[in-house]
Amino acid sequence: MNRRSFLERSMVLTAGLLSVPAISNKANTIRKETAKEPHEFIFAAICSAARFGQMKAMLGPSAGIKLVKYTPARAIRKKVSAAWIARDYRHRQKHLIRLLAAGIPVLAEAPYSEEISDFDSLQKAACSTSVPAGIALYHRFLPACISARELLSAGRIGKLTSVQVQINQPERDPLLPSYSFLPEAPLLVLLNLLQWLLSQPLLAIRVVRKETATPASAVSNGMSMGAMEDFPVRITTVPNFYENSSAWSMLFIGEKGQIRLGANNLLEIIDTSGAWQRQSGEDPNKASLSIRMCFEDFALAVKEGRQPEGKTTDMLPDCLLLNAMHQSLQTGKGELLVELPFGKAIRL
Amino acid sequence: MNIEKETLQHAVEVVFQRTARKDCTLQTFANDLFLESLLYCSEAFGRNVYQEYVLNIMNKREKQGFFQFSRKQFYTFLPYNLWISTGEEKYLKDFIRFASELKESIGRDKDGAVVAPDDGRKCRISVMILQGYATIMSRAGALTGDTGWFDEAVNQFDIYRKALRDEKTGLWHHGRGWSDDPSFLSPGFWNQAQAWCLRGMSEVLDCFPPSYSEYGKMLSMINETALSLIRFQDKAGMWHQITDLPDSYPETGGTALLAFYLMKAVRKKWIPEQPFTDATLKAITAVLKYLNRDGSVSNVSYFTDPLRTEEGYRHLPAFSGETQGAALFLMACAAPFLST
Repeated sequence: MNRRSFLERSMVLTAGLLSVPAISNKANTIRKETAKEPHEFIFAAICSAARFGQMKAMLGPSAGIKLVKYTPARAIRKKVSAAWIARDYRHRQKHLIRLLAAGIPVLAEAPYSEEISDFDSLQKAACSTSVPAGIALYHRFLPACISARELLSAGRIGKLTSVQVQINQPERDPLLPSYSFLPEAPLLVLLNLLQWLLSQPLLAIRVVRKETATPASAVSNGMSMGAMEDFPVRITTVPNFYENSSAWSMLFIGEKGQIRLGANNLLEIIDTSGAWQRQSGEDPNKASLSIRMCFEDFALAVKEGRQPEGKTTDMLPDCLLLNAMHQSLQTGKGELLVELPFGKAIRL
Repeated sequence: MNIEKETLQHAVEVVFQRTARKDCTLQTFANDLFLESLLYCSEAFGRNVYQEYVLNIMNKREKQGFFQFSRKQFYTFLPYNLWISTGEEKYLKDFIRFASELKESIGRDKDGAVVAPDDGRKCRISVMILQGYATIMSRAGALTGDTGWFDEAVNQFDIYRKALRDEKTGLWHHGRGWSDDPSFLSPGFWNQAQAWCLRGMSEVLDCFPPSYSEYGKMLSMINETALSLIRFQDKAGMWHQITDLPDSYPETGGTALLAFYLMKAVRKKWIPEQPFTDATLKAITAVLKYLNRDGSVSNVSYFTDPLRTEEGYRHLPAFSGETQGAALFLMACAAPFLST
């Protein structure tokens, strides 16, 4: 190789080396572009590996939604479309507030707490940002629950006289949470659903004390009495073995009939015709449908700049209820969830 | 700022379809408010179907015999609104007699403030009672031409203002005397209380001829209230559950009602066009974001009589789907397109 050809080859080589970063950047851009489709909505899943796998399977090929497992810090760095938090319920609020502060819309499974101040902090965080802060209340998207709400709202069974909530085997409903440190969690979900179905709050609750129950909790105690505006709510958490196929059920008793709503999309009605009519039977597959719909509702809320179905205000009744149940367990008396005006009282 | 009429009309239709499935024959506060809001929507969007729905309900009520004005429920004025929208005199039958009886028989506190109809101790006052009572008085005045009725309405606003208005914030307490102590002021400033107070001022002023001697007094009262309120509207356009606490939850019912009556006040030229028009349109845009796909409206505070703690107001739950929230939402949607 003479001096001239050496220089020529060196120049080509140098040019090639200089162009590497450019090519690399281009490649990076191309990679990024292929990884994220223009209209894809990326949810950063902040949860355990097991939960991630379970959720991904349930979500399936949901329209335009991609679930990726990230830490909260990574979700912020990557500027994801939204985050979904299903970590240990005690840490959810911390992550939720952090992500909201970073401007990431968040859909979180209920960050339960019996401290009302925790609800205030959550609400404060939600108020200080313009991005939606959603609470994943999956049952609200079950077709049977939607139908039950419509039937009740339309007065199909007349004026309600009482409601019975029966919890048998909550683990049979894939939409119900299960935490060893919070045995009340399934009850909280169901009573939140009850209040949503009736569009009115639970005003008071009394947990019936049972000295033999260990550990003491509103669930192990077996029975609670609640009060809504003008009718009682009887809550039974001891399994009814005659009804062992169902995870839970709610029986709405009205002046003109009854509605029975059960886990996994069961809905039956009896009205003046005198016979139970099945509106929809149990179908465990409906759980994934409601999860998908919950995610889609949230993604749409973010895109349209509106509020999602489940909001931080929906955590208020849970917080009040948990607090009141624990108070009632200690006192053995009925506890108010909502302050009543002077002169009004509820007897439980 | 502009809001497309089509967007609001669609929202109204969705809420109407859902709420109208309920039986509104029973004369309750929420049902009457819903029917009243439909009359506004009928005018705003030129949709007779809403008015027909109301008339249909009124026919059913007439057959069941509870058509007249009621002392138990004088927070809304459906028959009067029906008279305005249909011109039919039958809706005003007995109105003056009802107003006279109410004026004579209603209990009064030591300072002369009218009290809750069932209050034997005669000390429980609230802005809800004020707005209902004063509106009935001023309407009786408008129908008879007797300014004595107007004087009664203005006098009540004067007494209540002294009792409930907070000088520092310009906001109103919800009530007084709702505890063992008759002078106890309900703490904090519940957002819906502000909205109902503005409704009262607006409905009263609507009846006064500009020549009436106290017209200026009510005008300045509505101006001071509107100016106080606008300070507490958040960036998104919402007012919060406790009006001066921005970290309490954004409250849809009060925001919607404030939007309706601020817009009315602008239309009637009681308050300046700016900044109130922008504030109102911002509020309506914000409220729209709380409409769920099923036609229910969320973040509407559970309705209550005056409470004894601020915490009590702050932690009143807000569930979507009840009739009162739907009614207030419909009023907000109709507000930009009303001419009366």
